[in-house]
Formats: sequence, structure tokens, C-alpha cells
Amino acid sequence: MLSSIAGRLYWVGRNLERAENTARLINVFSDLLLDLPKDAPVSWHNLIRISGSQTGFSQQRQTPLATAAPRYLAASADNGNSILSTIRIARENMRTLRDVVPRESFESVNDLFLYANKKLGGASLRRVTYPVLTEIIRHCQQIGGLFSGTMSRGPEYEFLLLGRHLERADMTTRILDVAGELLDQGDETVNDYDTILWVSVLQSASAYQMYRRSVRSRVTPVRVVHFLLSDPDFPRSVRHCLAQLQYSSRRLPRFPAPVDAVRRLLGRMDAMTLRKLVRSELHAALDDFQREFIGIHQAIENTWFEPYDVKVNPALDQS
Amino acid sequence: MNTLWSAYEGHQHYDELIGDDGTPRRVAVPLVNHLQALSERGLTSRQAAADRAIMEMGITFTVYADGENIDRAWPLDIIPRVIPLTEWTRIEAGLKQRLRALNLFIDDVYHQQRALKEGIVPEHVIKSSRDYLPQAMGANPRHGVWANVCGTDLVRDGDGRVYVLEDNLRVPSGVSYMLENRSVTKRVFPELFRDQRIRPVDAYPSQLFDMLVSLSPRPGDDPEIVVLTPGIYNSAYFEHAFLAQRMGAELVAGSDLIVLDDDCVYMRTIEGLRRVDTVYRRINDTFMDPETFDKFSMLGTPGLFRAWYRGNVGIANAPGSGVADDKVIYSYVPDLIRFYLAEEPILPNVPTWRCSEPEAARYVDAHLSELVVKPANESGGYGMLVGPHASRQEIEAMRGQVRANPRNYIAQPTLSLSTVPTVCDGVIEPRHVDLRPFILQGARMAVTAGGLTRVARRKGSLVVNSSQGGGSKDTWIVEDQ
Repeated sequence: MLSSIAGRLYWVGRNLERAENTARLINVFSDLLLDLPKDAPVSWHNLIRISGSQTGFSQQRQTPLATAAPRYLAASADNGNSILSTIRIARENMRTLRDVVPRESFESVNDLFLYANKKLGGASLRRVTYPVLTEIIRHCQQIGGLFSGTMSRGPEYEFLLLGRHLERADMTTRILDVAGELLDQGDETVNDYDTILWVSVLQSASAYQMYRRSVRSRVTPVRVVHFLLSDPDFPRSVRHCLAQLQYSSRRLPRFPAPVDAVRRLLGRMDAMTLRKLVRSELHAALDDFQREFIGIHQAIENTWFEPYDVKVNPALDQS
Repeated sequence: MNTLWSAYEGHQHYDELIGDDGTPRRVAVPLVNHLQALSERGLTSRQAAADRAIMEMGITFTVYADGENIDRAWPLDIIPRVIPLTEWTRIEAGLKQRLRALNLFIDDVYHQQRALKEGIVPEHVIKSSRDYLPQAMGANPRHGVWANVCGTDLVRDGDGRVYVLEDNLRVPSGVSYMLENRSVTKRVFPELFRDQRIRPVDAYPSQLFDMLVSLSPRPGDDPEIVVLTPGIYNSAYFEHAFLAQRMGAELVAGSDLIVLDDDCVYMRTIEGLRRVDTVYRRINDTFMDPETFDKFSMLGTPGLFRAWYRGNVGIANAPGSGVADDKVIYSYVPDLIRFYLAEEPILPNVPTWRCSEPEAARYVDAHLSELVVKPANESGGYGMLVGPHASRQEIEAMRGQVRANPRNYIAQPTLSLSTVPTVCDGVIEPRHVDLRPFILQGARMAVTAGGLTRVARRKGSLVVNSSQGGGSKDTWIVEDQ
């Protein structure tokens, strides 16, 4: 399998996951802001920060924030991480993978793009609405279902999954990081709304229902963080995503470096103690996670996509 | 005849299916009888079925419009063009003869240049050809063959004779549509395939594969063949992907390949580097290798030319083959056949004026409104003037261009291209066609059974290029004896 094909599959996995997560985040956040008092130190800026696009956004005209921010996150062509941009990239990659992926999955990604482009594209867009984002989430999940229901479990499938799970783990830690910022700020306004906030955190990761079934006690920050980081069974928890990354990697040739990178992070998770949440410690830990994700990404890239230092390495001819 | 055929009363051009007396040509009798038995609804529903099949099979070509690349459904007219086998056998021999001579010529250009020294082709024509690559001097591609895949455009004039219009030796496209047209037409007219002996066309991908294998520098091994595409935005990307898939070869972009210090070509895979033996490149010479040619090409692979020159990889078509694609060189092909093969050309050229020759230039200048004028190095019908259909301004613009750069232009009489019955808005009308067969040459030669028939869909139009609104037809070589 060509490295470039592997790379494109991986990015299809990442971009579709990113589009879905961003859509869910905007929906949950819109909802949350309606429930919080006006002077609560939670705003769309927090969400912009989660998506790592604060520099791009601050360069834009941004009034009023309540429409500009979702528009930037969902529709902006200048924002390479916007829902529309990521779907566009996924569709362009899928076009080159038509021989590799099931036919219906290409058509479905193409439909998703056409839908998103119709609803979010164009300069006249004023407001990003809940039904549109919900439809996008549904569509992304349908595509995931198509992949899982119709693709053979060969390297093609594993590269899609690698992209999906790394992106998912990454997003889960970003959500926790922002929630953590609001923790213990000594600001009573927010703390009054702790429960609402942490329920929203769970909802952003589609985790509320599963948390309820699994934890069976009131929602507290430490339990939410624990659940989203290390629940072994919840499919969006970091631990579960890492286990999946390990599983997929082992099914590919030349896997030691990526598997080691994942194993290292799992080890650090086990060593973490989470009895009490201290804001600065949580932030430092999540920062660490982010760095490790970048390391895992680089191990994947160096192993399978760009493994050749042309000048130094001799040929590794197989035939 | 029913009303569908009313446009067929009294026609002015040679028709491929209907004779001058209004009755079907002998080889087309079963087809025409079958068509005439169809009602208008029967005909339109079959055309609709074909259009649907094309959508379902995802047969597309890419056009650039409104700032975006759009995949358009491939336009296929369901009424095939029929050629008797006896006539085709002669054409096939003519095509092989032509390509053999062209390959001897290209090899000569890059070695002793006998044809130049003996005055068959003027030296300045070669040296000024855009696709002449001095870097390729002295190269020895396998079997001495440079142009391994050739798409030769044929037309039939009003006199019923078949002429060669041009030789496409760079990266000719269209063969995948020939194959797809057949699979769709078989669905539309299964009964006709049962009752007649129509030559199958499906052998092409394996013939292409065998030819590419024969170019491998490591015979005996299980060679690694790749199709090199400029990418998804190329108008023929569908075909690149199609052929790669049919041959079981990797479809690669320039960045998938790497040339190491051992001057061998490798492709980057998740298992590591794999040596590549033959590159079927669908990318122009100068974009192929930024190390040797266009420094700014993002499409190529640095060192590819060097690897080929050292004999470590086969490239089809070989770099530099395009020198024989020049339309001025075209006009010398009959002489080249006599020179290299000591044979008379089986297929005639269309009479051609070379604007670089003063006398011819004077004639062309005085007769622009009657002639077809073509740039020497364009393809896809771009930059061409069809005198009788052109406006005053277009003619004057062309006059200026020819005077400024006579070497770059040739002129030909406006042919009365033959027609084939074609479904137009529910009725059947004559439309002009050409034919592009594909000829392969490696260790052996092969010619497609028929080729891609392209049809000008606008009434009276002679422009058949798909990039300019042309359509296509299936081509049947039918046993007539």
C-alpha cells in the first residue's frame, strides 16, 4: 500500500471525526451559554480556544460574538479546522481513494459535503443552526457506520481508525482542558453552575448517558474527568482511544514505534492519581497529553507516511 | 423508415451506416433494422438506460468551469459506429506500419539522425520542435521503441477514404471510454451482440500490461508497474485510475516515487521502499522530472529522467517521444514510411500545407476561410481555426499568429467528415465523427479492435473533443465474410 494512500485515509478519519466533534461542541456550547448568567467568565472565546484557532479568529471582525464565533468554527473558509473546511478536505481525499473505500462511503461523504456547503457555504450565512449541525453529526456517524459495516479489516480500515481515534482522544482532552480552566477560579458565579457546566462537558463528548449508567452518582468534576480520561469501555474516553490506536497499529507492518508511543502514554495515565482536581495540575497533565498525541502522530507519520531519509538510508527493496 | 429517421432523407456527407441510396450499408443491416423497429419511446428509453448506467458506473471526465473542477458524466450516444472487419484489417496494418516508422524515426532523431542528414526532414524542424529533448540524445529504451502507446486520429472524407488526421504520441487518452462505451452498449443492445460477430475490445488492459512488462529493465522478475498521474485535477484522471485498477498497477503521483543514489526508482509504501520497473506516465515530458526539466514542477519526481537514461526503469512513452507528435512532422510521415521501411504508406495523410514553407504560406494566407489551421503542438482541439465556420475576426487573428510564427502552424483542407446516425432530442440525425484507435508497441504490437469514436454533438460541427462538448459512440468491428 502506498504511503500517500495510507496518509490520506488517516486524514479522512481525522477530518470526519473533527467535523463531528466540532458540530457537537458548538451545539452543546450554545445550549450552555443560554443557561449561564451573562457575567459568567465562560464565553465563545473558550470554544475558539478549544479548537486551537484563537489567532485566526482574533484577526477577524467578531461582532456579535454569539454569531461570529459559531460561524467561524463551522463555516469559515479561512479556518482550516472549520466543519466545512474539514469536510471539504475529507471529500477531496476520498475522491482519490475511490478504488480503496466502499463506493457508498465516497457517495456519502460527497453528500455530506454538498449538504454542508449548501447550509454553511456562501457569504450570506448569518447563523449556524442546531438542526444543521445535528444533521452533520448524524451524517458523520452514518459514514463511520458505512466504513465499519462494509470495509474489510485490512490496512485501509486501520488507517481510517488511527485517524479517528487519535483525533477523538485529542478532542476529549481539549474539552477537559477548557472545563478545567473554569474550575477553582475562585469565582463563585461559575461554581454555582458547576453541575450545568460539567454535564455540558459530558454532553460535548456524547458521554452523559453512558456516564450516568456507569458512575451512578452525582456529576462531580473529578468523576467526569476520570470517566473521560480513563474509562476503559466508553468509546470516546482517552484510554479507550489509546487502546484502539494500539490495536490498529499492531495490525500494520513495522508497528513498534507507534505502539511504543501509545504504550508510553498509557503508562503515564496509569501513574496519574485523580483524587482531587487542582486546576494547574489538570492543565499540566492535559498539556502533557497533547504533547504525547503529537508524538504519536509523528510516530505514525514517520513510520508509514514519510519514513525515508533519502540521503542516509539505503534502499529497503522488498522484491 | 419511421419518423425518427426523417432527418436522414438526402444527406450530403458520407454516412457510416446508411448508403447514398438511403439503404443501410451491408455491414450495418442488422443494426439499422433493429433501430428502425424501435419506437421513439423505445429509443429514448434505451438512451436513458445508457445515461443511467454511466452515472451508476461513475464514468466521468473532469472539466474546469466556474473556478471549480467538475466531474461530468461521460456523453455516450447509443447508436454505434460499424466498420467491416475486412476494411479494419487494412486500417490496422496501416496503423502498425505508421507507428513502426515513427518509432524508427524517433530513435534516429536521438541517435545518428539519418533522416535529417539525408534531407527527408529538415533539421530546423526537429531542433525547433517543442517536444524535442536534447537531453534524450543517445538513450536506448528497450526494443528501440520510444512511443509505446499511440492514439492515431482517423477521419473518413466525403470520398469514403480513411485518412490519418494526427498521431498522438505524448499522453493520448480516451481508451478507458472505449472500454466503458462497450460495456454500456452491451447492456443496451444485448441481442445484437448475440446475433453478430462483433470483435471484443476488452483485451486492451492486459495488452497494455504486457507491453509495460516488456519494458521492465529486470526481465524475469515479477515487475512492479505504476501509472503516474498528474493528479485528481487532470481531465483524464478517471482514465488513469481506471487503467491502474484494470492492470492491478499502483496509481501514483510524482511524490510517491523517489530516485535514490543508485539511479533506481522506488515507490514509498507502508512496508518501505519498493523498486519500480516500468512507469506508465500520463504526465508531460517537462513536468516529469524537476531535476532535468521544469524546476518548478510540483508534479514530477526528481531524478526520474536520469534513472530512465541509465536504463534502470522503463518509461512509456519514453521522454522525447513527443518530437514525432508535432503536426509539422506529421506531414513527413508518408516519406518516413518510405525511408525507414521501404514500403508505400497504407493509410494516406490529409494533404497538409506547412506554413514554414513560403509558397505554402502564401497559399494558406490567401485561403484561410476555406482551411483548417492548427498549431503544431497543441492537443484537445485548442488553438485551431476551422475556416468555413470562423468569424472574420477569428480568421484575422489566426492570420496574425501564422505570420508571426509560421513554423508553429499547418493547414489542411476542411474535410467533409463522415457522419453516423445519432440520437438528438428524441430523433435521429447525422452527426460528424472521427475515430481514435490505440496502438501499442513494446516487444510486440497490438491495435485496439476499433477505437474511440468521437462525435460532434452540435449540428454541422466538426469539433469532436470532449473538452469542447463532443460526445462518443461505441465502435463495432463486425465480421463481414
